[in-house]
Amino acid sequence: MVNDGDERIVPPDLVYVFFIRSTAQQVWDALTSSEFTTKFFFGRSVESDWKQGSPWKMVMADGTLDVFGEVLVSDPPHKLQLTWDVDWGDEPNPPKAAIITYDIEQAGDAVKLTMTQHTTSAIPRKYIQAGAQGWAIILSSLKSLLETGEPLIVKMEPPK
Amino acid sequence: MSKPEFVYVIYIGAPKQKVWTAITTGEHTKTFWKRFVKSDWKVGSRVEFMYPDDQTKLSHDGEVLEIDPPNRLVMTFDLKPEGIDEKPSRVTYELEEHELGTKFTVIHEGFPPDSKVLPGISNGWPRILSSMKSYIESGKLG
Repeated sequence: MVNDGDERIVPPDLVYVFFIRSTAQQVWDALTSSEFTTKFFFGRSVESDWKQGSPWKMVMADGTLDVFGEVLVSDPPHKLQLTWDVDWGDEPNPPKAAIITYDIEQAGDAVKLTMTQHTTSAIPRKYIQAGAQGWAIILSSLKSLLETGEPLIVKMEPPK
Repeated sequence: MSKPEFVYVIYIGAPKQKVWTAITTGEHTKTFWKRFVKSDWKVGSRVEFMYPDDQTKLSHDGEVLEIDPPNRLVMTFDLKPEGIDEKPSRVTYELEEHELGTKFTVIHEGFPPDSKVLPGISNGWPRILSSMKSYIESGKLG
């Protein structure tokens, strides 16, 4: 039987649009400061000077490197484009980095945030679904954080 | 080849019963959707989306195909009242309890090739669903 999850395809661009009652500057700050990302991005912190050509990385709460890449376009607070690479571990023939673009524009009394994920090489199908699911959670939580002061909370184990 | 369709997922920090109430009650939809929804929500029943300031003026309508409160709703979507003469498409809402609240999925499908409706709804749903999330999380439903 063919395992569909391992079949590789080049997915179409994933585009997510969220309207957030906030300012473009606040949305930019939330995407580029660990103070915010640790709250809405599965506990990850980010490091970069966010200048064009600079490296950037995302690190898990336990210090493990999660995502890394280069800043392709930086036009604060309106556009940020990054290469998005992960350590594929033992995956043979690891896929190339994806390109993530955040477009931030004023739309009436809200901000329109568009996240576009552009994938340039074939990746196993199982990661496509998981990735789309992850972005829906991250952007939903970002919106809650900026509008209510609280992200969507994942119930944590009590401290040991 | 992918079929022309629109799929959107949003997570809302509230139980699914609250989200269901918000999306199926005119008094709520008129606030975040700018449409007043009217239906008795039975299979085969008509669903009407009226302009809130003139509740005799239809924006669009449809028919309930499947309903399982507060989990799933399938209805047709017809924009003929707005003068768009295209065969009705189909909208599905799926609500799932998640540790973050409710996972709300909209699947809008059944479009003809070169649909005039698809580009419009692709712009519309993110606005409506972002607005619904703000409305529910701000505690306006109590």
